[in-house]
Amino acid sequence: MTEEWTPGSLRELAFGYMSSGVLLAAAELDIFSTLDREPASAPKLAAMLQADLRATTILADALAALELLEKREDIYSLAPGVADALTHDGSDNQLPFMQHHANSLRSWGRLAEVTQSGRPAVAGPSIRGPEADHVAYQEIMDVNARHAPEVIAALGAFEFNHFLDIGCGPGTWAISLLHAVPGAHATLYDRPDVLPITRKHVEAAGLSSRVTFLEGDYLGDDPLPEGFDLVWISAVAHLNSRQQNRELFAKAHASLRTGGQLMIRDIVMDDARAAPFFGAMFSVTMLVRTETGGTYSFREFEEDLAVAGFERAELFCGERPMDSVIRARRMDVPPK
Amino acid sequence: MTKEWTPDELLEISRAYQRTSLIMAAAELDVFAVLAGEPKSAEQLASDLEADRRATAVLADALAALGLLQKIDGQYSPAPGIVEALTADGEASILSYVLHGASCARSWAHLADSVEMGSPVNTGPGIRGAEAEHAAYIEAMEVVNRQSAPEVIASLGPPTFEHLLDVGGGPATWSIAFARAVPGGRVTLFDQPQVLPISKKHVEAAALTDRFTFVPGDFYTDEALPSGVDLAWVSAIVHQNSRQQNRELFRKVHVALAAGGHIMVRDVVLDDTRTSPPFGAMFAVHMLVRTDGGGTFTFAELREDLEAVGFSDVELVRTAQDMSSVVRARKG
Repeated sequence: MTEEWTPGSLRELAFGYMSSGVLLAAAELDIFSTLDREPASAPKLAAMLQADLRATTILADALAALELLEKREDIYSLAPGVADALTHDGSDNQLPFMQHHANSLRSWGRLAEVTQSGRPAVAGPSIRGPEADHVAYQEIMDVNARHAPEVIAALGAFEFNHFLDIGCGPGTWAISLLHAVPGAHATLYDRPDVLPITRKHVEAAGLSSRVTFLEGDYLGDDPLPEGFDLVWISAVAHLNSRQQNRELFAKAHASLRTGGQLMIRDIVMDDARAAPFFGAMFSVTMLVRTETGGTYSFREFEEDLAVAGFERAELFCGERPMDSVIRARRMDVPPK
Repeated sequence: MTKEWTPDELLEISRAYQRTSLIMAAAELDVFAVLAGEPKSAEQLASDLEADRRATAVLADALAALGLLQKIDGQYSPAPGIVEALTADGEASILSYVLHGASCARSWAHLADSVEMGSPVNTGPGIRGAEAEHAAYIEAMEVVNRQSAPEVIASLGPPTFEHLLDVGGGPATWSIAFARAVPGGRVTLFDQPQVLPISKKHVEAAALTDRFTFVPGDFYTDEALPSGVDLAWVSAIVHQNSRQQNRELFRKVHVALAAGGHIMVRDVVLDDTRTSPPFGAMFAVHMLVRTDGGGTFTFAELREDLEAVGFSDVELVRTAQDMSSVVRARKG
């Protein structure tokens, strides 16, 4: 159903940046972890944050107005439920998402000019610095991978001896695949700045003996090793243009043995491209933050896979938007 | 009762900027006016907007996901209610309010920096330029108050004045409502020269020009305000100022008033916790990211600053959750 919009409901929609802005600034400044260790007055909080006193007071009062903090006799403490979600040691820590959104917010604010130019508006690093921003991004991958075992189980029983994970990131999906198929071996492929994080996770999972690490950039000219029976490409396709995906899929095709399969985990949009909602928003994030990224429909994936030589593309709709999986097969040797 | 937060509720708040940014970008690009006549494809829309094709398609699809546009067979059109509210000529247009919000949201995006430094971050203007953004800001004040101004004035009891001074009168929304409530009363509207054309436009539309005098000036730098008035209306000004700036402003108003005249200050008034009304606490953040020393104040603070320059009988005559609390005080 189409909503009937009123000036009132539109004004409310337009106001959303205020509560977002207050919550995300508090996450960037790590106010919740700070007050979780010890409730504090505004002067003390400002000193701990090394921030301006007047400004800290205003922000803390706004957080209290939103009921994210409690204020009693000028001492601020966390409201119930906040510590679980918004502190480093929280049982359901969402801080990496918040810190990532804080950067995203600055790019989204430039959406009008991005639409005119078609070029991203990548804002500078947050007050936390580029390294901390990168760590938050990797942590998001970790949080997303909490659902990996169930997503993999939903794909049905599958067998492989040796799989290649292109753009493996922290390796959490590969680890789940190795757990699902005992005895299989994995080759994990990513850039040199990512692989140390991957190694750490693989070692912690006790799987080092079943993993080969391979440095490289899938957008570069280096060919990939051959003979795999599964190639796994997770949350990578949305970083690319369709042309880049065709090249990536062609490389994947060449690295598979005949009969081997490619699995792509990503958002898959409806043909009209306005659903799922999360995907439509994610497309905008890719627009404002990356040179080429976007989200694609099954039809577009199918076409790009066919161009790369794949056959029999099928879609497994995920419970969460980023957890849809497309599977396709290499059926014969490509023409030389 | 204090609520118990769940991670999903917090994530929902953290993502609210996305919906906001979409409506604002569409307003800045004037997407809804371009689509008001007939449905268009992304390609046509991009060409009409002189914008990038891929980016326009992504924006239009996201607006459709949000329900602000409808997409049928690849053709986009505004959803019901949108043309009325979000085009300049719409009958209930809030476009200027949304445009002003777009510029504000860019400042809010740097809130963490502002908290560290204690001052606003200059983000530069958006695609419409600084002048257009300032005009939208003035017009936004009309959008916010057009409905409530007569109600608020009526709630203050039967208004009486012979000569009203509207300090920083902006789009004249309040002085027009006062002039209508007091037939025969005269109004002097004081604001910066670049604002007065907007004020005059609204006064003309209300057919009240013969009862108005427009005086250009700047209450920060001018030594004196137009004087001899019996009521001074200071609406949504004090939150832009530090307390010291407010005392200086109140002193100038005190000089401008005839003996026995009144000042009325309309603004958000915080209670002593400073966290209520919630709107006031959020608005203080707004002033933090947009002004050098602005904020929101308690009644006790406003009374102290009014009394410091000689006002008496300071009363909180109207209490509201929004910006329409009113403090009144008397000269002499």
